[in-house]
Amino acid sequence: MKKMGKWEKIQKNKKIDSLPSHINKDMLSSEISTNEKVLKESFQNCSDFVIRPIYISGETKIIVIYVDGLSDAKTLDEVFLKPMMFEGLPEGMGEVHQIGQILKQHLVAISQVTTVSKMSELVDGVLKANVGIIVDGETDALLAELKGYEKRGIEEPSTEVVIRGPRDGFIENLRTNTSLLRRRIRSTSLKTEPITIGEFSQTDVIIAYIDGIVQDSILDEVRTRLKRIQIDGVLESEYIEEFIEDNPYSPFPQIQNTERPDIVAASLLEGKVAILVDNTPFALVLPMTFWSGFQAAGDYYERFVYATFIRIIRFILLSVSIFFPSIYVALTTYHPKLIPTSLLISIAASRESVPFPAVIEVLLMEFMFDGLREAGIRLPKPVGSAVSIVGALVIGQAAVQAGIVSAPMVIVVATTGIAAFGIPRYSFGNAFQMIRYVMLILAGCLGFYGIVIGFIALTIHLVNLRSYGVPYFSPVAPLIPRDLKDIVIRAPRWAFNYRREFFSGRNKKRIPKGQKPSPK
Amino acid sequence: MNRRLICFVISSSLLFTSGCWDRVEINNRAIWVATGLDAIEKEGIQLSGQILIPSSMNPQNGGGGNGEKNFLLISAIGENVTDATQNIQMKLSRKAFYGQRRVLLFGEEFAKLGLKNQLDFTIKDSNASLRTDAFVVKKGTAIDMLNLSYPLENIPAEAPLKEHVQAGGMNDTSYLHFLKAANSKGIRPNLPTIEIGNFQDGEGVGKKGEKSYQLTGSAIFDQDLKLCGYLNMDEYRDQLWIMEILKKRSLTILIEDGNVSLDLDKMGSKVIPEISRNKKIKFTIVLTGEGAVIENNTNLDLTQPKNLEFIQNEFNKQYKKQVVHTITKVQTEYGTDIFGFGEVIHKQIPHQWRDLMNDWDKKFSDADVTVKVNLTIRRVGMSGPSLRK
Repeated sequence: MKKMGKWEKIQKNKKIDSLPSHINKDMLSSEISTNEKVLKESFQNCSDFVIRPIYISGETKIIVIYVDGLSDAKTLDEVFLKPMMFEGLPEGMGEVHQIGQILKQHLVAISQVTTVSKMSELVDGVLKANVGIIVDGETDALLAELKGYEKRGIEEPSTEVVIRGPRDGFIENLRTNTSLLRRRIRSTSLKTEPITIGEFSQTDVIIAYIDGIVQDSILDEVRTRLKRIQIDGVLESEYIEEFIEDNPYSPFPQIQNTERPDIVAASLLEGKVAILVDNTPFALVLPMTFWSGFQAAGDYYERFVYATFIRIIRFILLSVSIFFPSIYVALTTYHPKLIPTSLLISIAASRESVPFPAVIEVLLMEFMFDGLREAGIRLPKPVGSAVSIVGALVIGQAAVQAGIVSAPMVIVVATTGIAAFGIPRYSFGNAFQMIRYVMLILAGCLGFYGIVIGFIALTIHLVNLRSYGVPYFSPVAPLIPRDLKDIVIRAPRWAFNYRREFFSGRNKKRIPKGQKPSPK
Repeated sequence: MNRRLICFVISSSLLFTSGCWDRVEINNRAIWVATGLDAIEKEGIQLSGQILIPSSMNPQNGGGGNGEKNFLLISAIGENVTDATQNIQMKLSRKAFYGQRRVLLFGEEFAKLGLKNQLDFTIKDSNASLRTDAFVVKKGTAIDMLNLSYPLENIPAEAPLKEHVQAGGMNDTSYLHFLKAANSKGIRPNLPTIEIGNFQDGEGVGKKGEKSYQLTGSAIFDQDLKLCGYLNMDEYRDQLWIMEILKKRSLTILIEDGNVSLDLDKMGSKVIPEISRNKKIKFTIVLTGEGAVIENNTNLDLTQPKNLEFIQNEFNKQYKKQVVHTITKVQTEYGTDIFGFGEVIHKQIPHQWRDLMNDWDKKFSDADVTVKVNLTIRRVGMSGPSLRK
């Protein structure tokens, strides 16, 4: 309780810091000079803030305010300042106190214009890239939407590449992202609820779902958890993810993140909820299950037979990436009986001159591999290739020739490294990368016994996880046979007759039956 | 939360208490691939082992190809196997590892003295594999056998194992069969025999050629697991056929002035026991087989059904004779039931078995055996009548 009290106090202080208290609730004054003064006070020391007084017909004062770089100054000149200053008000257009109204209805050739009457709303609007217009003698201000900040073009997301399928990805601009979604689901049922999070950042966050499919209890839970967040700033969707997860200590992500609008659209159609955050291309999709980690976008754009095949390969790769090094260690140091004799001899022959125990050897190599991988992300591009060549030489050849590691060990670590990238979701694969080390230590200490203990613990943890009330292992545990069509196998599209039991509330029927093509 | 963390740290630190580890790196193990046991007069037994030398098995240069032996032959004498093992370890820098031992050789003298007193180690040692192929070295000692290198195999001890597979015997379950038989009353154990043979038989090369492991039949043990006699390869095959272990076999018979060979690939057998009122035991053995005639050096045109039937009957007749001969030989000469007929009674007429089992060897020798051989020739080859036609 004590802690809570302290926190609230800090929050209060921050509020006072951010805006002068007397304008917090203040309505706009009819005196334009007062407004100007208040604004200048609020934006004190903000060099990117522009305040531009102009006179129409030589007498009526208008103030135009915006943040330089956020608003499109060129368009502002074209559609507002030029006609205002050179042509003035059209003849016979009423009284002074109606200028605001006239401006809004007749003169500002900008599609989105809103009227605000509070100073705080005005300031907020200006900070969100609108242009504020205050007219002398009026207590209403206009906010014209003239967003004009720089943004990246739409590119193919580099973390989720597909062979066949759409190549557009989300960008940092929230509006663009919602438009990408809207282009895919052109229905009024696609709802995009806005919410602002972040004391200072005031980040726009959008909850997207399809009304009529989504499970209301999940949606309500999302709203509640999002509203609960008290944070200074949101710079990436992970900031939010960590606040709204079910089990924050688990290494496994319980909320899926993606850069692909098609994945988000497909998830929405399944009844999931998406959270889009401004300033990041990564959208959150929830609830997530263990199996979503294996569903790549490409699965749905290839023939289903091949997609099933490749998915089975992926499950094998997963087990390889978790267990292969530990099984190698357990076999060679505890259970050499289980290795075929000729293989045992090959291993023994190459291990003859190796100074370290197998566990240390694997740990060394895994460490090198992860080091290379981490360095590879951070290396400047021109240096990158040089370092990776040296790394490959050091790990691959020199270490073996120097007799520090054995050749089979290099094969084990390399196979594991490749297998780890077979998991399509990057953040999901990271979890297994860590578990690999745990398994390795268990195997090094206890042999197969340790691996089994580790596997049991892992399974217990996984089946205990939940994502927004959805068991992480569903539909396998608890078993829902009808939903197994998209787990290990990927059924053909016409066989997806129902939506997943846990995801969608109403409207469980998805695709009418009997659409299997046949020569009739 | 804090308490949980402490619990976690304490329990995970248990993992690293090195005293509990039984980890042994591969390069600290001596990979023991074959064990030989010989009897030494007055002193006990001689345990010998074939241990691989990994560094001479470098996969890049073929391993052992340069004439050097790539294994180490080691042996020691002791009261029993454990004693001898301890003596061997005195000469061995690495811990002997028996997990890969797939071959067990008994010298002839050792087998004659009886295995009963010496075999406990193979059952009690958790590292020793029961998937072992055991052989009796006929006319020789196990240590001589183990000293042979085999040109085709990197691991010499694998040679008899693979030969056994090719011959279609019990392979690596032969030792398990042996142990099972040793512990049941209705079947007496037997083991395949192996000899030091030549790779080249016949004229020309003489006896100078390289020595090889050669399968020569089987060894028969009595109730006390003492070696009491041998069967040759043909008799051993008959035995395996009766026991329904054999999967393939080539039969050759003489007809008129030529010979015919039949390659069997589906083989079966059925033993039907019968006990009459006066306690007379009778077995009917039905042997079946299907296959193709692969060689026909006679005047008969096998495309004629009449000739085919003639040959089929001839096969049945001649092989019936041979099988009867084998069974009679075992009954009269050795008097131990290596065919497992007792087990058949045990399974099929269990209530009678109790009276029979205590003196089974005697009753086995007195039993009547009728053999029926039903062979079916499925194919005669496509190349038409034989060359002599």
